[in-house]
Amino acid sequence: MAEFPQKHANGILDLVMKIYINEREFDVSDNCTVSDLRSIHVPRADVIVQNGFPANPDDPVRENDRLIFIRKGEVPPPDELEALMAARHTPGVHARLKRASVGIAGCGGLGSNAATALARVGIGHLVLVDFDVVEPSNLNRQAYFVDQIGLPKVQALKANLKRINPAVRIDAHDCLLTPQNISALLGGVDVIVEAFDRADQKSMLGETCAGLLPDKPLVMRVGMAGYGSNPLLHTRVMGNLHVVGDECSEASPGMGLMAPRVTAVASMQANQVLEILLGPDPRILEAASRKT
Amino acid sequence: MITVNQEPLEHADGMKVSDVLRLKNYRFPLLIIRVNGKHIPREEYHSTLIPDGADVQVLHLMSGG
Repeated sequence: MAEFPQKHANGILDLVMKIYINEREFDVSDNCTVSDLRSIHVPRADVIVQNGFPANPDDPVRENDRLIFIRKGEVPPPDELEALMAARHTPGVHARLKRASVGIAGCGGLGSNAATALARVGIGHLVLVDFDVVEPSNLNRQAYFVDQIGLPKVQALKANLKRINPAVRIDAHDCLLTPQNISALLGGVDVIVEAFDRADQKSMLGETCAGLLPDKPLVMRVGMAGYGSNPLLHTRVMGNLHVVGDECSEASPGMGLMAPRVTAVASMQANQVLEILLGPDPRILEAASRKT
Repeated sequence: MITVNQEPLEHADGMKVSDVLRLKNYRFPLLIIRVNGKHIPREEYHSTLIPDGADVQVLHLMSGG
């Protein structure tokens, strides 16, 4: 069994190794299995995740493994919820994201959906800025609900994000971003996500950041109107300016904005934020090089 | 020779950012431009010289979100 060095019949002591169970550190015997630890720590756990991947109870446990045991249908205490939420993260990622802060400039189709992805992944601090209120034509693509019509978007979004992940710290600013307040509101974040509807606002943010916050990574999105055409969506990096979208489709008479393409690009923005914060995922690069 | 959004363009003496936009027929009202990674503010398009070999990146800003 598991917890401390045990003497076998032959008198040899097991070695002790350090592992993590639901993100708490434990010393256990080096010859225990996943199922041994489950029976001690979370009996009747029916979801087992080992190093970010579903585990088999008979699998061996190795030094520095990260095990998560979850009982389905049971809401864990707040201090444990965060660890269980991050069970399927790539190991080591959550701690780094928790230290990060991201600014969301505009909380419409792009901003509300990008912020949702970033809250789920456990970014420690989100700064939301928008001056508008939720109205019915937003609901075909933005992360709001019918009963939130009329609420300031930053207030509604903060409430929704807190329901998803209460551990995220959220500052909500119900105001228009201008060249005068950008430094004060967004100067302290690690990455800014540009998520405005209007091109002149995007231009204002791009020009102001280049002048006042030249070292701050900025993730802009350009072109995500209409539907379909997945292969046209791409990412272009221009120094610390990261551009996501198709760079051609503009919202205009006859060309609408709808959830699938808007949320796809919002997720690409959130995904680019992770790459900025963590660097490229080495396992994806390795897998991609094996394939070619 | 310079590159503009990864495409080659013949360089000329005295070439400015505004010349590149004219030659490439970029007429979008709102752009973000970087020359060798450096941001060029809009009011400097007519005065900023493009060195030979420069990497020019032009982003067309469009509405929708």
